[in-house]
Amino acid sequence: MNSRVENDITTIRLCFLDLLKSFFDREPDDHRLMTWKEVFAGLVAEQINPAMDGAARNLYTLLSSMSADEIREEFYELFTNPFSSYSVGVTLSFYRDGHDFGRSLAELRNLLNDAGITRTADTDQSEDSLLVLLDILACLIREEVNDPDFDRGHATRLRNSFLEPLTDHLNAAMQNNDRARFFLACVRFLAGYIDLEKGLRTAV
Amino acid sequence: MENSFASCLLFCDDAGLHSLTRTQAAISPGSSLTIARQPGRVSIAGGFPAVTPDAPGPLSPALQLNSDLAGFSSEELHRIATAELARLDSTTFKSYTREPDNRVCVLGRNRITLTAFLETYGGILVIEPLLLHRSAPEYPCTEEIRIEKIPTGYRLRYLTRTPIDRDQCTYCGACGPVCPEDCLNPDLFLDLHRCTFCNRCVKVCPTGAIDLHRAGEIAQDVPALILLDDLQPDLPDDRTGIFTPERMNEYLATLIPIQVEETVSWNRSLCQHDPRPDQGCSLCLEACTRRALSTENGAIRIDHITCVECGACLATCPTGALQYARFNDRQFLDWFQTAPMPEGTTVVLGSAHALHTLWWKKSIHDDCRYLFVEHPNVRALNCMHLLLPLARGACRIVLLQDPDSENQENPLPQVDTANTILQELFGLSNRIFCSAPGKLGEATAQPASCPLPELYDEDCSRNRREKLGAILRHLIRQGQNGARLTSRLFADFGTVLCDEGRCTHCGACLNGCRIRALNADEATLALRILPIQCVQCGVCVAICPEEALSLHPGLHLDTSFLEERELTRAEPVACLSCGKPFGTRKSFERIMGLIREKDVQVNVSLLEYCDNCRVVKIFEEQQQ
Repeated sequence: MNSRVENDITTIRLCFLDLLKSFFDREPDDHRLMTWKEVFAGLVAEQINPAMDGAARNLYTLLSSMSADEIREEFYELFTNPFSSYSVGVTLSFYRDGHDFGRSLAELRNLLNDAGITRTADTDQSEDSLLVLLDILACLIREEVNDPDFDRGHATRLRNSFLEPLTDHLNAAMQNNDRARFFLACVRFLAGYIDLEKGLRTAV
Repeated sequence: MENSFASCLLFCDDAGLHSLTRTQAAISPGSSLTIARQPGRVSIAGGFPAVTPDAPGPLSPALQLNSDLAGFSSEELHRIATAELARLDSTTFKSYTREPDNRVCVLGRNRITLTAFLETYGGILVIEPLLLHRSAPEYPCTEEIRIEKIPTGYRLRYLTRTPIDRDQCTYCGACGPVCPEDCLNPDLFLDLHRCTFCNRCVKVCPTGAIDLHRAGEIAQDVPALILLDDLQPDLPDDRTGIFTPERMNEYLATLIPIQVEETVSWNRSLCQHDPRPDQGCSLCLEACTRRALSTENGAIRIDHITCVECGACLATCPTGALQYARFNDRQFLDWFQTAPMPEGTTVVLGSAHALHTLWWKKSIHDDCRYLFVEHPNVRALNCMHLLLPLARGACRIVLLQDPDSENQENPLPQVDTANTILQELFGLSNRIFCSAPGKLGEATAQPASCPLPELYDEDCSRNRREKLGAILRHLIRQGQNGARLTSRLFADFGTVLCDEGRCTHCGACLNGCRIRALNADEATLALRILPIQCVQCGVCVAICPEEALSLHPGLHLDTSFLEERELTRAEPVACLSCGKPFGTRKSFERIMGLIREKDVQVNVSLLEYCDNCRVVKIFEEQQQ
């Protein structure tokens, strides 16, 4: 694979990660919803992988059928309102250890330490939360591009041991959650992206 | 509804009156039990909680078995239902969730590894870092540490140097520049590992805030310790809460919420364990193989998290100081006082699970009359519990083994104790035995009858041993008495002997006998013993300053063993003034003899008066 192609792939991967992060970082405003709709209008015309394609079509349908307030309300019930009975945990520790700040977080910190990644103080979310995991993956991808000797095993370890299990847990939690429609589709899109990443690693 | 489950129900009407009925109930195994016709509120119903966990009221497996398999009349079933209801209503114990305590002290000698640990586990654990043999401004540091085990974890004691008194320091900046080793930094950290103790900083400080030898002792209690950098400080023997980085997974696995049920209780006023080392009864401590029992400040401490309710301590406790809250002695006595006991009944005691299995297999003998009793753990039953139904008319006792229990094969000494008593008194063998639920019919195939012409029907007891005494009195009266049982099974029975020549009637021994096997008659100054009450704890022997007492172990199956008798009697000394007895002639003469021997200059005539009259006498003499 020549460097130009690799750079293009890296750009696409980072774009996808930005898109995935945008689902979960805050309640979407009208502008963001409009952007998503434009992005998915383009994606439904493409063929990437079966899981992603299905999730993209589903997301596009939901973006067309659900109102902005409905999506915002869903976000609020799932991720913001701590008293909601529909609230969904977004950290790996929550699912794997039964509570936030569990041993999974310690294991992730060991990975970050090995990879030489230091957490900045501008986020109040723990390292094993979905948003930060996506951010860490983006950071590792950038490191791989900047430093050809950078150990690519870190990204694989992050994806296999942390991001994928968390996605599976989120998927299972949202499947049984009556309020989760749009964000369940987002999680499935994320699962499709992880599949894509795996395929990419195999190809590389 | 022909094939539906038939449940025996105790209803309570609006006037609070109970009535019993047997009715068909629609049952959905795994969820609910629905009773079609309800003449009132269901107080208790026959059934199995494992089958219908969502039943509307309490379920009694014993009621179900007695209704289906025992052939009791409605009136008798009503009494059993009432006994079951009373038992369930009076069962109380503390139940709570203990949240994990994630405080931990991390000891290291390398600030980099300590920092790395903090970065990895910060937020996950509440970490108290401590740096050994090194100095670092960001961590407490010490050269020596003492670690001792306490019930809640570990107590750390260490000296930490505080060379700069921040209250006195005015931050004038005079000390920093004069230090030739550059030990002092702007954060007022003084690196004592680099300091040469030249004292220049001390001399230059205008407020006397620096003392290079100042140190303070810190005591800190933590539930767990983590040792970094292969540290090997002196550790206590119990290291269950001490971990290394390699065992972090083991440590993290302990941080889970635990449901605690305090089903074993301890009553100090009945316990013959003595706080002085190696004195008194320690049967429960010896019986507990999991070390869930320990002594603390003279009390028996129960670790309810470690306890698995094996019942060993409960069965061995001779006084009933340890009680099983799921079915305590009082409830047991009340149950048998309320329930019917036709003569020649085989009493079957078992857990809900064992009774359920028995009901399912219907393994009973047609010619045998049964009474089924639910007991959460038959291994917790004491000799008193086993003899009570027999004294009340049962012909034998069967203890059902729990089908899934791990320790069902372990021997039950209390069964051997009770069987030996029955063998000696009535020539009966193995009237109390264990059986698997599926083999009950086979085990009870041989006919048996109640050996007692008269049945026991008393309901008085202050404690377990007193109740056992009352039952034994009843049995001994009707059996062949006279045997003396001295095997290991009867080590907690016996009497106390007294050397009359040594005893001064000081009464010290009475203070240690909480179960009141020993008592004194104040009028006659007699020391008395009730042998059946004595548990051979030896506290009185250890207390006696004259070494006048000794133990004489063994259960004597004779009425004399059940009666109080005099150990020794003293001649009282009467006050010269008021005539009231105030001591014994022997102790009075001993004191007088000592005074004469030592040639002490005291007014011995005053010693012939009681406390009150002596004061009056002294006052009168001073007035003259």
